[in-house]
Amino acid sequence: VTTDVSDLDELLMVLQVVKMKRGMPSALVERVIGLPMPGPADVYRTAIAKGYCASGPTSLVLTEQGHAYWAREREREREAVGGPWMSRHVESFQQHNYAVKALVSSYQQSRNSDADGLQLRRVVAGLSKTHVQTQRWLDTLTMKAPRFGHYERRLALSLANAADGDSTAVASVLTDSYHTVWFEMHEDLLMLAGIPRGE
Amino acid sequence: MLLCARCADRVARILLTGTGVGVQCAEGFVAVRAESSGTAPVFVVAMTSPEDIGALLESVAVVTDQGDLMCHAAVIARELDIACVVGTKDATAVLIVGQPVSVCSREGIVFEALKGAPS
Repeated sequence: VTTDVSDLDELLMVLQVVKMKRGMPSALVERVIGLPMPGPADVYRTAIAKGYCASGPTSLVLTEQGHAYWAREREREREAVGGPWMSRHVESFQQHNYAVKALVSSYQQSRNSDADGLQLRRVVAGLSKTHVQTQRWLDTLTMKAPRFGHYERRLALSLANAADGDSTAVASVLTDSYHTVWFEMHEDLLMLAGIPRGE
Repeated sequence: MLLCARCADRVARILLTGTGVGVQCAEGFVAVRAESSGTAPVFVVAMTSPEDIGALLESVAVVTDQGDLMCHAAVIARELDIACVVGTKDATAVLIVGQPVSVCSREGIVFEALKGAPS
């Protein structure tokens, strides 16, 4: 789906990635941010220049100013999307969430005996099927909140890597794996809907 | 109960029960999100967030109030091969920061650590 991503959306996307990947290696955070975006702005450099992110001892961190900006812009985005619509969309997410977590968990428990790569091919086949349904769901959300298009690209990339035989692309926490991106999207979705985690 | 040898003599010291993920057992000190540094942190949280992954990389175990075998915390614990008990309902209320505990994934039990310190 093609949507207009404003500089504000891009900046918020960058801050969201930095926030979610707190404590993770800077190189990973920069690699994720560096994925092609529709907009032309070098938002990452802008975020640093504006004092919203800084290099911590081992990774990038949001500054106090960055947190304040992030919270303000999240609220603006939440109001723009609309609570009732968002609640319905979160509800329809649950079936996709269950399917993805079931596939990933099942793969994790079977992969020790996966010398021939059969289990990896199985999980890729399963995720590919749910991915098509998720894409439709995500396209609808991206029409309302263009920033979420970033998750679509990251999910597609991790799935392609897994299909190429990279087993870490399924659930590793040290790469931008399918589960890691899914987890970040889930968290972001709940925040956008104003739903506390666990409810 | 099918406790491992390490946990078998501690049944009198059960603090919490939940759903164990994997087969790892670990001992350490209770830590929460803001205070995850220190020796052998056992990360205790109501439910994990992606922001916790950095801290989990340094942890020997994770214990959560909510969740099941397919929750995000369980997926991450399997990836990191650390001890994990999810769905204890009230770990964040029962456990105290700095408290020495033993986490048995096999049976889904959190014990008070013997002798007050991790081995």
